[in-house]
Amino acid sequence: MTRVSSPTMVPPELASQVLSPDARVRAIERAFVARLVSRLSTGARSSTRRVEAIVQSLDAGELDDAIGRLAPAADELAAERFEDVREFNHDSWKSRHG
Amino acid sequence: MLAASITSPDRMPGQFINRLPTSAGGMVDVRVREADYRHAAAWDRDIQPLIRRMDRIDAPWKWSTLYLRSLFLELSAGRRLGFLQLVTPGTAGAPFPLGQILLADGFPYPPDDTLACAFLWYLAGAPEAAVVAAGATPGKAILAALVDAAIQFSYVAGYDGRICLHASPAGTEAQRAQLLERYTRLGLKRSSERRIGRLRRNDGRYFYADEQAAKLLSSNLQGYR
Repeated sequence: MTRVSSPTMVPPELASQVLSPDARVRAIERAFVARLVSRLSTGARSSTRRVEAIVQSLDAGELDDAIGRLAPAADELAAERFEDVREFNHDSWKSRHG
Repeated sequence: MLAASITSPDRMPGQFINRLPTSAGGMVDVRVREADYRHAAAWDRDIQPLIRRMDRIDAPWKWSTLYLRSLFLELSAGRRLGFLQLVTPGTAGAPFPLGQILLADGFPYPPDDTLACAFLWYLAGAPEAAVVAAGATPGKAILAALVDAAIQFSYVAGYDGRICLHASPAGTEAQRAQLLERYTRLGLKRSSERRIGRLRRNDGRYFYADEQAAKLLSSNLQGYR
């Protein structure tokens, strides 16, 4: 796992995992992860500790506000059309998730 | 590194379903798609409140949190997290999720942890009331369809259909027993290994599909692909 050099830097392994197929949502997700990492000040911790801290924080509901800030993105879904929905493609999914 | 690429000579290519039977005797179009945080948030907003009012094991779940937590947990283990939805046309043609799954790509396969499988972390179907309220047609066999999505994922990921899941230990005794019964009836096998994924103690609620079971389960839905 890659160590984080700065608390505000998005760890590459997180950035590559939190990637929506939608470019705008990807930007939101990256910002969300950056806030997460920054807020938890996990830069100096090991990857395991960092993930544990994030999981504990999520379990405790501490990040509900941050999660709520992403919720408006869900409104975009109203414009989706079933006929435009693409079937899951493992290759493209894998290429985005590293 | 798991021997994920070890495949049988007659390897199945993996093909997701594209329709399901309805209780009225017809068919409804469905698609298995990749979902993301927005879809988890939409489920929490539009569907989970109905589930919360029902006597279901998943009543307290919050998918946006489950998604992020699972993402980070899998990440810590060096695996990818898949989030798939089974959608059907709803009001004005908008896709509506009949169900969804979170699964780990490359979990150690319980009967032989030198092999990999897809581990189905979370699975839920939308209540019929939510489906109807969304102007969509409720499909039948949603549990089988969601487990099939995991199996097809396993095929395309190169795991020969192998999957594993843990039946939730939450809920009442009757609910827990009912869940075990549903997975058994579906054709999944109960794992007898002492450890699951090398670290987890087997509480007797782990199920899996080996290559043969996956093939059989796939063939059960072959007419819907």
